[in-house]
Order: sequence, then C-alpha cells, then structure tokens
Amino acid sequence: MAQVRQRNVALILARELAVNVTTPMWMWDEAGLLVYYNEPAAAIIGRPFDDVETMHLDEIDRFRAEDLDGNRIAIEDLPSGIALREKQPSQRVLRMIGLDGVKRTVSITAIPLFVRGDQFVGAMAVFWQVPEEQGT
Amino acid sequence: MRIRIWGCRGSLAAPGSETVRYGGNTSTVEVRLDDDSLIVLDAGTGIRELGINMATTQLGSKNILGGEPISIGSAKVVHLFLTHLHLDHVEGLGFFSAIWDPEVELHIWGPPSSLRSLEDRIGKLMSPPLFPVHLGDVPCRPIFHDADHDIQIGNARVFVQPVTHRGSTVGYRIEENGRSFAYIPDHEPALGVDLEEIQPEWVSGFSIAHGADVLFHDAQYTEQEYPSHRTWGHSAIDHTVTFGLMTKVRNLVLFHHDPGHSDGQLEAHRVRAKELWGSHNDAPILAREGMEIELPPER
Repeated sequence: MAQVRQRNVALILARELAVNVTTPMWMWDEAGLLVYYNEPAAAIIGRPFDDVETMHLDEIDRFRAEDLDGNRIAIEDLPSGIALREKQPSQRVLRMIGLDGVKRTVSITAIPLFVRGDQFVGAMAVFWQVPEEQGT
Repeated sequence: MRIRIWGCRGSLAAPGSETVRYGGNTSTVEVRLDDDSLIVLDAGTGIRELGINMATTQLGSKNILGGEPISIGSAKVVHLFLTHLHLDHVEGLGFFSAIWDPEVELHIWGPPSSLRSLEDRIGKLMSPPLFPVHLGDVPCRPIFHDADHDIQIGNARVFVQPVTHRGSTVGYRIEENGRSFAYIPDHEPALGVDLEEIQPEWVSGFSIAHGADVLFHDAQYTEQEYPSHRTWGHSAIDHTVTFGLMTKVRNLVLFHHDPGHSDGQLEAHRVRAKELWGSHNDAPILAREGMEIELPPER
C-alpha cells in the first residue's frame, strides 16, 4: 500500500467530536503537532485554527503560560505537555496570552489518546476560560 | 486475484422476488489469489453457498450454481477476515461447510477488543441458546487472530485499518502482483464532517481505499434516507461517490444494500451514483450476488 497520509481513526473521531461540540478543545498528534482546535477554542486562543501556521508543542510557549502567581510554566509542566510527553492526564488553571494579545485565565484538562495495542496517537485537551475572580 | 460476491445485502438477509437480481444474502466475498489461496471477507449468509460450492467440489460434484467448480486449494487453508461482528457479517459462520471439515485449517481474523478475545466473542454467537453447537465442538478448530496488523498470505498483502462504524470495525485492502482490492462494507466517513470540504488525511478509510483498482463500499442509504439514519454507521450514495472520487479508486462498487431496497430501487441508486460521478473514469456499479471481478497481475 502506498504511503498515503491518513490520521488514525481515533484522532479522526476526536476531531469530529471537537467540530461538533461547543466546548473548547484542541488536539495534538503523536509527534506533538497541533492538528486542530475548534471554534470555541479559537475564541480563547485568539485566532481561528485555519489562520494559524503549524505549531509544534515546543512552540507552545508563545502563549506565555504562567501560574496564578505570575511564574512562567515550562512546556513539560503544561497539561498538554504532560499528556504528550509523559502520556498522563493532567489538569491545571493558568494564565495565557492569546494570539490576539489578550491575557486570559483558563482551566485546561488534557488526556493522552491511546488506541488498541497501547499505540499512542496524540492528545486532546478541553479548556475554557475562567472568570478572573475564580482564577485568583 | 479474482473476486466473487456471495452476499452484498446489508443489515439483514432479504430473500424474495424483489431482490432476485442483486441478491438477498448478507456480506460474503470470496477472493481467490493468483496462487489459488482462498480469502473470504465476512461471514454473512452468503458464506453458506460459498461453502456448498467448496463442499460439492471436494466431493467431485458439479458446482450447484452452474459456474466453474471452485476448490479451497490443496492446502485446505481458508483465511476468513471479518470486518466487524455485527450479526449480518457473522451469522453465516455456523453454516459454512469449512468449519465442519476437520481437515480444513480455518484462520479467522477480526477486529480486536480490549476486553474479550475474538474467540470469546465469536463463541458467544456460536453457543446455546443462539446456536445449538458450541464453538469448541466444531470439527475444524478455527484459529483466531486479532486483525490489528498487516498480514502476508502467499504473494498477497492484506492491509487492515480501523474505520468509522458502530463498534470496533476495520476495512481491508488486499494487494497482489500490483493489483489492489479495498473492502469497506460498513462505513460512515461523512459522520460529522463535510467530505467535500475536509482534507483527505482526516477521512476515515482514505488510505485503505486510495488508488485501489476496485473498492467495495457501503452505500446503504439514499440521500433522502440518510438524515434519519445518521450515526448508524452507514453511507448515503452521495457520500460513497464523494469518497470514491476523493480516493481516486478505479472502480467503485456500491455494496451493503439496504434490505428494504428492491432491485428497481437499487437501479435508481446506480443512476444517481452515475450522475454524481460525472465524467470521471468508469462509473459506479451495483454489487450483485454472483458478480465476479478479475484483477489479472499487473504487467
């Protein structure tokens, strides 16, 4: 079979879920590439997915994530970083600066995606904006 | 490779005067490789007649269907690939002559489960009260395999990939001597997405079907029927045609006919598919019991 690129069906179904819910979601492939986020997530990220150049996990610090005390959070300590690198679920409330330059407080829950045979195919995260008074 | 359809009806066998032309048996496809190895795709009710043909040939009798006699080959090895375990794809197994022949080496491949082995799941079907004989008591002692990796059979390679349907389901692609046959009888690639807009890499089944000489694909519903059957795991005719064009298959065969569709309705579906297909290469055709497709080795 010729090498034709096609995402794992679990990732395809996860994307279909993200397309059809109004809960903000983003998804990463197994190599750490941001492969999709939905329109509700775009409102938090500050730009529609189609307008964003390909982004790898290593570039996620462009969001300048920090904890509620203002300390920068390393990539490997971010929920998506933990889900992708340690392949563990993770949750955290943090502040990030969207691509529109607006700082927001968000709660992020990320999970690794495994398919049968313990094959790791990526990660997805649910995140939503937290009212400032709850984030402090 | 030679392909023969023994059943192409979806969901439920539908014998009767309204389904004579395209057949009422549920999914079973025989694939005879160039070295005469036998691959069977799915064990719908069509597998019974395949088995009868094999048995009559073994006894030296004439093929009861009137065609060329077929045999299971001197090695008496049969590879049965199940796309999934919905009843219409497994209900013929207990009536397949090969499982009653202790000299047959029957390999059964099917989608894996995290909880129960394929043998356990098939065993549930082949045990009282659903079936009078326990799987463990059938003479051929089938050998079960998880279809979670590509498989080499003779000169052929069988590629396996999960596809979107209700429950764990896979599609198969058989390649031999430069020719390819893709089989995705139960598939809803349009679930939640617009196939006209989405990039191919995000379409279920794309790599299994891409560039195939022949694709058998789910076409259970009309465009009018689909909205009330969304998420049931099947395709409407326009989805099937779009999928076939997207994957650049050479010959698209509409498969898994709804049991409620008569021969006349299916003819109308073919006309609609041809209209949607436009001026591309060979227009889609309807799967029909007894249909044979020859894919000679590529020169």
